[in-house]
Order: sequence, then structure tokens, then C-alpha cells
Amino acid sequence: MLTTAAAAVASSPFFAQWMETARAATTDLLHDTYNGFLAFIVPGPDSYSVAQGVSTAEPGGLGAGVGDLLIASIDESTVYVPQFSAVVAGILNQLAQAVHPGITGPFLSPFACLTYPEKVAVLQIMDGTDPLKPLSGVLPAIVAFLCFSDAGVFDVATRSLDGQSVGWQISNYSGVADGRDEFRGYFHDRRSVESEITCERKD
Amino acid sequence: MRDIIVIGAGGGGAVIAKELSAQGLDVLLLEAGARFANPEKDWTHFESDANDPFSGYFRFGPADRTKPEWVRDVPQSTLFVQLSGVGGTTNHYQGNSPRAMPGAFMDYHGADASVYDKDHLFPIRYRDLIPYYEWVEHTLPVQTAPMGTKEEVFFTGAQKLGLPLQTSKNITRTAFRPQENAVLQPQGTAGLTTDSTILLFPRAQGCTFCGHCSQGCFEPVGAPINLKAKRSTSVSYIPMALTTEFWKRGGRRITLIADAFAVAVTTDNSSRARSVTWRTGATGETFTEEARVIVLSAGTVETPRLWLNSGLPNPNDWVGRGLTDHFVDAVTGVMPFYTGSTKGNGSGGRIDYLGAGMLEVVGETPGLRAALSAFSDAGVPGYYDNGLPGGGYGADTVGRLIGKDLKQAMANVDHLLNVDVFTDDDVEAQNRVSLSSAVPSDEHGAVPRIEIHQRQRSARTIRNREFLVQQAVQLLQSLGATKIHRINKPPFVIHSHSTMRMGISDADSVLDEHAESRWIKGLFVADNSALANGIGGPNPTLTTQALATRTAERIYQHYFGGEPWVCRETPVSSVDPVVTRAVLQRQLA
Repeated sequence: MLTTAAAAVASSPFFAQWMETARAATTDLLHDTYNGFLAFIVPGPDSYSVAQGVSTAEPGGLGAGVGDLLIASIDESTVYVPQFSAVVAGILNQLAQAVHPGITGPFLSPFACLTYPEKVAVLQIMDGTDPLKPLSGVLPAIVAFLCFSDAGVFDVATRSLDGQSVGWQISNYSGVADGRDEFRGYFHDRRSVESEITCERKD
Repeated sequence: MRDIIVIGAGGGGAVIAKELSAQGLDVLLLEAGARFANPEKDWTHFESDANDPFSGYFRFGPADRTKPEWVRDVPQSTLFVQLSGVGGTTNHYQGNSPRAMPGAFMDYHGADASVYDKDHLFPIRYRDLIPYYEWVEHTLPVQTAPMGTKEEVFFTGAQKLGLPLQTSKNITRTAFRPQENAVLQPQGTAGLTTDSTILLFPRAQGCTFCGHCSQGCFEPVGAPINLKAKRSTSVSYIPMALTTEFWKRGGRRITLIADAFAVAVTTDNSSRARSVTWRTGATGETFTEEARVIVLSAGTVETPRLWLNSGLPNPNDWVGRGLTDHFVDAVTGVMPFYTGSTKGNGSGGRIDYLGAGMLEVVGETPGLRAALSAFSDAGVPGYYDNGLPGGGYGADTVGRLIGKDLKQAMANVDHLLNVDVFTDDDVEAQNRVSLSSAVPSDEHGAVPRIEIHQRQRSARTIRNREFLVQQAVQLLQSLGATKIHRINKPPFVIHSHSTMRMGISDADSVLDEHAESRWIKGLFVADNSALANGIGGPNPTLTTQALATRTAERIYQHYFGGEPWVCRETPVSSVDPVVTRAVLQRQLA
């Protein structure tokens, strides 16, 4: 998914410029940008959600605890583009400046300082820019997956959960199980259907 | 020299391997991804373990999960859902095993014959395929799906639309039906309890309604591998192929090598398939073996990629062209009542619309549901539509669900009713797999480029999709949905076909009516890429498996002087006690 998106980004004439921005990115800026994106896709009661003007009482993307995982995974999954998480952050912040020139606010990241409609405008630009389309297509979906799955509490070493998934909590999901008491019988009690033609061979 | 080398152990390759091993041939089966020999150890129910796009065991990537997914050049927003590993994409499929629409075949003369893709029909008769359908349906086996709540609700909606019930295996009219699927029907405690202590085999048999089809099925816990509920080829055809001599007199078990990525196919001076070279992922070593017949089953992307990377002929330029993907969309209803959408079969109900496609009721775990809701080509509702044509037809939103819309829709995942739209889409040359010039080659050669021209689809394809979306919205409205969301997806390729298509005309097809290459003798294709078209909209796996069975017979007759067996022998079911004994004797998991 992101490997594909990275390949498209790398084909852009602006790639060298984005790489330059990526090299200059600090860890704080990186986290700030992704926090702003997490709040955008799955808002919660956190300061990033409040700042964008769309927040909720129940936990959101930041509460899911997947920010570091998202950054690390983006970097590990893209073989052709080193520091791809920083490249993506650079693109988001550059487009934030285009949407709202001179934007300032409580965060290092221009993207994180945008209002919700301005963040939508960034996404719209990406959707309309060929090398960025694959990225804008999959990034919201990846973030939604991480936030609503067990990713934030999954322990890779033991392949078990070490906490309660925020995504499960806010979606009222009952959790994994070996089975459910969900069998409701067969429609019209029909357990099989017939084939009208049997073994009529051409030869 | 081997008799047969099969490249790819997914939905089609496993069938060819098993069928020809039963005839006593020496079969080598290569699989690029992981072995997945022990589902109870290899898989869990956790989404992040299975479906994480970066490191999940079901990504399209190497067996070593610390290594990234394999690269593809996809110049548009696309999710191409395909798995590596023994079992291939059947490991996370929902087991739906409908037959094709008869209108997709050359002999169809029904009243609706004119509404299909008439220029790209199958070069065989539908009735010719039926014996092979029956053979596969018995082997897997394919059974009528039981209901969970979501299916009960869906069928109520279908009846409210005035649709009749389909009671035949064949699709004979526009109608709704419980799925015919490759999931064992529940017995004992299965489907009746959440208590894992009483869900152990043999107290529980068949589908336990756990709702984890997408993470790989290892239920019921304790069952021999061939008695797992969902009939991925990794638990049906592969165990049979590894134990052939136990259940078939004269049979000869296959040799299976995983972590073996085929990188080249060669031919001899007389344009006859000769050898396969593969690369072992763990060590980087390469190996070459010769065979009398070679079968490509690496999938709709990797099969044409391997062909092109091998420098095999492509005189009409149709290798890789004609990709059909059912132009998938999704419509979700937020219901004022419980639907159990995260439980039970992945999909236990469908509606077939002759000449247009189908609707399926589907359920997923919350991470996948949220991801699919946020994946759209139609912008953000209330802000922009990205210029994509497509109406709402009464839906409350069209486009990505993000922000508060996403949270509200996901507030109670078991109150959702998800209807997926599978379009009978046209074969179009512009939608294709080729070799990328934009992305550097990887260790397996030039990487594949997948182009899908979403906004230039044929008028018939677009019309079909819009009609189906309209039907889905009406169904949800009839059931009293409080909110209806049309996602209007970019290419979401969970069904892909016809990139190496068999065809009537040699001007626009790669394979003849036997699924053999038109230009290289002894070289066959037995995955979804061999299909002539998108089979009218139904899930393609069963048709690919039936066609693969037919192809196996052709290979045996034409290249080994053998006799056909379908209709002459009784198929052995993969759940037959003789197979179970064989599996236990060979200590397969």
C-alpha cells in the first residue's frame, strides 16, 4: 500500500524538495504533524482535535496510541524512500502553508494548526495531484485501520493484547473470540440447493 | 525433469497440483510467500497481526515479516487486495463460491444475452464447465450458508424489494439467496456459544461464527487441518496434494516449496515451455528446474509480470491487458437495531442481478470496516466530491467517512449493515498490468505496474455500478436505516481477473479455450487471470477452480496420454475421513 504510494511520490518533480524538507524535520515536528492527522481522521478530546475545531468527548486517534507505530511503520514499509514518514509530513506541512499562508498556532506543524476544513482542503489538493493521489487515497484508510483495530495494544513479541483497544471501545466491538452465539438457522430451513445439469460432457 | 511445475499455491495453482498429483504425475508447486502449515500457530484473530498493511502476515510480501511488502507501481489510488503464501488470497476470502453468470459464456441465448460484455465472452460453453463446478463443489465442499442476524436482515430487505429467492446452484434469474460458500456448516456447539472451552473440536465442528474470516480461519480449535471451517486451499486442496498416495490409488504427493519466488520461465527452440527459475527469499539463492508442462498461477498481477519479465512472446499486446475488478463500491446503513455485522460468515447472503452484477451483505472487524469507510475516490462529504460521477440516490453521504462522520458511523459496529457492490464490468484494454519504468526493479525483476482508469470506464460498466448502488440504497431504506453512506470507492480490487484472458478471438486474448498459451505450447495459466472476463459479477474463485480442474484434465490428456476423470470418477471430498486419516498420518497440523 504505502510502498506503492511512496513510489508515486518519488516520481514527482518536487521529490527532491520534499526530501530536503524531510532531512530537516525534527522528531517533534514529525510527531506534531501525525498527531494533527490522527485528530483529523479520528477526532477525540485532545488538544489537536480541539485546535482544528472538531473534537469529541470520547477518545479518538490520539488516544488509540498508534502515532509512533504509524511513523515507524511508514518508514519500515518503504524501501525506496528513506525517512518516508518525514517526506509525508513535509508534504502535509507544505500544503498546509499553501492552504493557509503564514499559518501559526499552538503546534510546530503547520498542518496540525489548520482548521478541519483547511485540513480537508489539503486532502483535496492531494487528491487532485497525480503523484500524491495514491498517498491521499490510502493514508486516511491506514490511520482509520490503526485507530479502530487492536494495533495500539498489540504486543508483537507475544502476539497478544496488553491493554484495551480504544477502537474497540468507541465502536462497541465485543472483541475477538473463537466463536459467537450468532447462528440463526437456515433461510426457509433449506440446507442445500440443486444443480440442474449434471455431468453432461462435451466429448 | 518434472512432469509439472506450478507457479503459485493460491486458489488455482493448488487445484491443478492436487488434480495432477492424483493422476500420479510428478508435480512441483512453488509458492512465493509463507508456508502457513499450521493455522493455529501461524494465525491469530487480531487484525493488526493479520491485516496490518505494513507487517501483517496477510500482506503481499515475503515470508519474513520483518521485510517490507513487495513493490508495485500503481499510479492511481488503489487497494489491490492480494495475499502471498500457501493458500494465496483464499486465506482471507470469505469462502463465497457462486457459479458464474451464464451470460458471460459464448453459448448463452437467454433474454438478457445482449446486456453482457459480448465482445469478451468465454470461448467455452457454460454447460461445459458445470461438471467441473460439481467436482470442485464436492471437493471443497461448497454448501449453503447458514444465517446470522445480518443475513436475516439482508434477506428481509431483499424481499421488501420484491426479489424472488434463488434455489438453484446456477444463476437463472435476478434473485436473492443464501450464499453457496466453501465454509463448513456449523455442528455441535459451533454458532451457539462464545465459550471457547466448549468450542473445541470435535464438540464444535464447522463454522463457529467467530467473524474472523479476514484473519484466516483456524476454527474449530483442535480440528485436523483439513477440517477447518473455511475451505481456503491451504486447508483443503493443499493437504490433499501432500497426502495423495493415501487417498488415491496411484497418486503421488506433490513437492511444495514455499518462499520461492519464480523469476523466469524459459522455452526451447520449438517454442515449448521448458524451465522455471525461482529465488529463495531467505537466502537469495536461485534454482532452476525443467518440466514437461508449466502452469502459471501467480495471480492476475504476478502472472503477466512473470511472462513479461521472462521475455515470452506478446504478439497481440494483450498480455496483462483487460483487467476486470468488479468496479467495487460499498453502501453502509447505520441501523436502529442489532445486525451482528462483526460475527458469523464474512458474507452469507447475496443478490444477483442478471447482466449487472451482485450485492453482498458483508461483515468485518472494526479496523477493516473503518479503513474501508475511509477509502474513497469521491472526496469528503460536505466539502468536495473530487469530480467523480455517481449519485447518492438517497444516501446521506457520498465519499470518505472521516472525522465525526466516521466516528458516528462506527459508534456501534454491530448496528451496521454493509452492502458491497460488485459490478459486471467490461474487459477494457486500458486497464492493465505491465512492467514499470518509473519504479526500480526489485530482486525479482521489473516490478508490475497496475493501471486502472477509474474515470474512463465503459458506459455499461458505470451504468451497472450506479444501478447496483441504487438498489443497495433502496434495500437499506426499506429496512429503516437511520443513515446511509455510499463510499464511492477508488479501485478496491478484491476480485481481479482476465489479465491473461482466454478468448474467442486470437486478437484480444492470450490463452486458447484450453487455457493454454496461444504462442508457447505446454504453458498454461490457472488463476483468475485466465478468466475471459469478470464472469458477470459473482466471486471468481469457484469458477477459477473449476476451470483449473478442466485445465488439469487437458494437460493430462494432451501431454501425458491420460484419460479424463471428471464424470468418470467419484471425487474425494477434502473432509472425507480418508483425507483426515492421511493428514493425521503425515502429521500435517
